[in-house]
Amino acid sequence: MLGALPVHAEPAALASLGPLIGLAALGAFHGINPAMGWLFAVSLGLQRQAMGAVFSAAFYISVGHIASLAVVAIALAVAGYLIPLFWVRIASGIFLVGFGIYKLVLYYRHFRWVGMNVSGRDLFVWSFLMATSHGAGLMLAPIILNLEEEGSGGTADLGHHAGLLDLTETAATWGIGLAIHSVAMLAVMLVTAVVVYKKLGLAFLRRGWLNVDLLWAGALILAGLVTLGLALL
Amino acid sequence: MALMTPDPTFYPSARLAQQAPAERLGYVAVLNTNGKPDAMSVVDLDPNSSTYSTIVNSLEMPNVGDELHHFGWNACSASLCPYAPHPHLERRYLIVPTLRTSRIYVIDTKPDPFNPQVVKTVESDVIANRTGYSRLHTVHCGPDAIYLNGIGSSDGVSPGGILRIDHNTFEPLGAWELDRGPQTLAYDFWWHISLDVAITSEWCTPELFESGPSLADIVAGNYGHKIHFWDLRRRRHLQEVDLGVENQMVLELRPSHNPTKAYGFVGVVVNNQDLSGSVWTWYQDNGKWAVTKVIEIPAQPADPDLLPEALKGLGAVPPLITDIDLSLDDKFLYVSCWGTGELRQYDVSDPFNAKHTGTVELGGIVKKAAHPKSGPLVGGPQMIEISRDGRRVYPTNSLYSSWDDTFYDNITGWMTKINVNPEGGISVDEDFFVDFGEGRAHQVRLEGGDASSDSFCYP
Repeated sequence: MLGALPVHAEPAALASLGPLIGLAALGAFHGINPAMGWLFAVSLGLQRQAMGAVFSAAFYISVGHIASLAVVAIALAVAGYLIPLFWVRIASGIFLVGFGIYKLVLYYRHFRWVGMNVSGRDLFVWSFLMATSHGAGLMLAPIILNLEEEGSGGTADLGHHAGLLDLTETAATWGIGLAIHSVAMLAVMLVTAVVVYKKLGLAFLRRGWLNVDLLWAGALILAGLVTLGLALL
Repeated sequence: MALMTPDPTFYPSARLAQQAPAERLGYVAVLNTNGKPDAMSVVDLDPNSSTYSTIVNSLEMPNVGDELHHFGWNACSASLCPYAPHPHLERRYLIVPTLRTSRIYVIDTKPDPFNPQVVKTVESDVIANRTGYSRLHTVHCGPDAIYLNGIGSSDGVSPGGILRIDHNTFEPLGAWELDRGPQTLAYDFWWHISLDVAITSEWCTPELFESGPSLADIVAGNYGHKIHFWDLRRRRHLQEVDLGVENQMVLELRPSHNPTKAYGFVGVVVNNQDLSGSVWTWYQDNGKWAVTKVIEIPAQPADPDLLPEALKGLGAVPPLITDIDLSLDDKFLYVSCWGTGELRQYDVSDPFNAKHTGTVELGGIVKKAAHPKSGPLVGGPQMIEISRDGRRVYPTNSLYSSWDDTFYDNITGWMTKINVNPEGGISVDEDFFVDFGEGRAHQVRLEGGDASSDSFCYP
C-alpha cells in the first residue's frame, strides 16, 4: 500500500491521489486490527445484548483513535516547524523501525488501562492509549510528512520559510488526510464488528483471528524504512 | 512462542469451550511427606490408551518440603478479552506455587506434554521482597498478567493477598491491592471479569493451618468467615460480606462462567455450632453484594471409637466441605465432603434453589468406602476437577499434609473418575483408579483447560 506513494513531491497539495489512498488503506488496516477496537465493540454488544452498544462503542473508540493521530500529526508539524524536514524524517524513521522491532519481540505487552465494565469516556481513553502505544499515528508519518512537504510548496524545510498561508494550507491538507483515514477506519471497524456480531459469531474468533500484531510490527518497520528512504533519496 | 492463529485451547465463551475435545491427560500435584520432593504427575485419561488410568510420568520438584497444592496455566481463554487481547500466547506453562515454601515453579508442558520440565523457579525471598506475600495458593490467568495469591504476608502472618506475575518472564510484579480495606485473611480468589469485580475468601493466618487445625480456634471463631468484593480495575476493596462467625473457613470461590450473570458459589468447611458444611450463593442486591445459604449438609453421628482423636469428643463426622466446582454450563455444582467421604452433585440452574441430584461415596473417616479397584479407601473426595464438556469429574483425596494426618491415619494418594449423566446423576467409573502410594494427590489440571482454569469475556 505504501508503494503507491510518490517518491518526488508533487507541485501542489493533494495533486496526487496516492497519499490519500495510502491513508485510506492504513485506515482500513487499523480498522481491521482487533486490538484497535472492533472486538471491544462486539464484546460490549454481546455483554449488553444490544446492537446499539456495538455502534456507540465504535464511535468512542474512533474518536480516541483520531485524537491519538491528531496528537502525532501536531507533534510532527511542530517538529517540522522547528527543525528541517530531513531530520524529522530521519528521527521518525529510526524511531519507527526501532519500535517495530520492539513490537515484533514483545508484541503481547499490555497494560491494564480499563476493564470490561466501561463508559464511553473509558473507551475513548482506552482507544487513545492503544493507538498511541501501538504507534498507529506514527505509522502514517511517511505520508503526512510528504503532505507537509507538498503543503509547503515543495520546499524541503517547511517551518523556516513558510508563511501563515502555507501553514493554513498544510493544516487543511492534513485535516482532509486524517478525515479520510478515520472514515476508512471507522467503516472497516463497523463492518467487521457487525459481521462478527450478527453473522459469524464468537467461534470465528478461534479460527479467523490472525496474528495482526506481527503484521502490525512489520508495517511499522516498513513505514520507518519508507520515511528514511524519502529523507535520503 | 508467537502463533499465527489463536491457541486452539482458547475459547471466547464457556458455551463454546464445552465443545472442546475430551482431555487425554491430566497433571496432578503430588505431595510427599517421606523426605522425597513433591512431584507433578502426568496421568493418562484417554480410555483408548494402553496406559489409561496410570501415572505415565512424574516430574520431581528441585526441592524437598514445598507442599504443592493448587496450580494453573500461564495463559487461557482470558487472552481473548478485548481490552488487552493477545490470543497468540500459548497455553503451555504450568504455574505451580508452593504453599509451605512460597516458591513458584514454572513447568513447561511442551514439546512433549507427557514429559514436562521445570524451566524456572522464583524463590520465596524474591516474592517476599517484591510483593510482601508468602504461602502461595491460587493461580488464575488474567488478560493482562498471571494472578496468584498468598495466604500469608512475607513475615508469615497477615495480610495475605494477590500478586501478579508477568505473562512472559514470570517475574513477580508486586502486590495487587492499592486499598485493601478491612481485609487481612486470604484463601481463594477469582473474578466476574465482565463486571471488573474480584472476590476473595478467607481461611486463616499461616500459624492456624501449618501445624494442623486447631479445634479451640474453630470453636472460638478464629478462622475466616467472610468474603470480600473488590474493584478489579482500580484494585480497591469494595465490600466485605460476613457469613457469620459460626461459619468457619470460607474456601473455594466459583463465579458463574457466563459473564452476563453476576452470581457465584462459595463453600464453608464447618459450622462451629452443629458441624454442618454449607454452600452459599453470592449475588447483587440493589448495587450491593449479598449472600444466602443454598446448601447445608449435616454432620453424621458416629461411634467415638471409630473417630480420630480430634473428633472423639464430638461423636459425629462433619462433612468438611473442602472444595466445590461449577461445570462450564453453570448447571451442576459438585461438592466434596472430605470428612464423610461423599461427592455430591447439585443442579444449580436456579442458583438460589440447589437441587441435590446425585451422590457417590468414596472413603470417609468412618465409612472408608471402597472403589471397585481398591480396598477400603483412606481419605475422601477433596479436590475436584470437571472436564470442559461436563461429562467427567476427577476427585483426588489429599487436603494439606498436617490436616490429612489429623483426620486420616496413614493416608495414601488416589484419584478417581466420576461419570456424569447430563440430565443429572453421577456414578463412579469402575475402570479408572490411580494409586499414588505414599504420594498425596491434590489439584488436577486437565489437558487444554477445565472448569476452573479459564475466564471468559464473552457470553
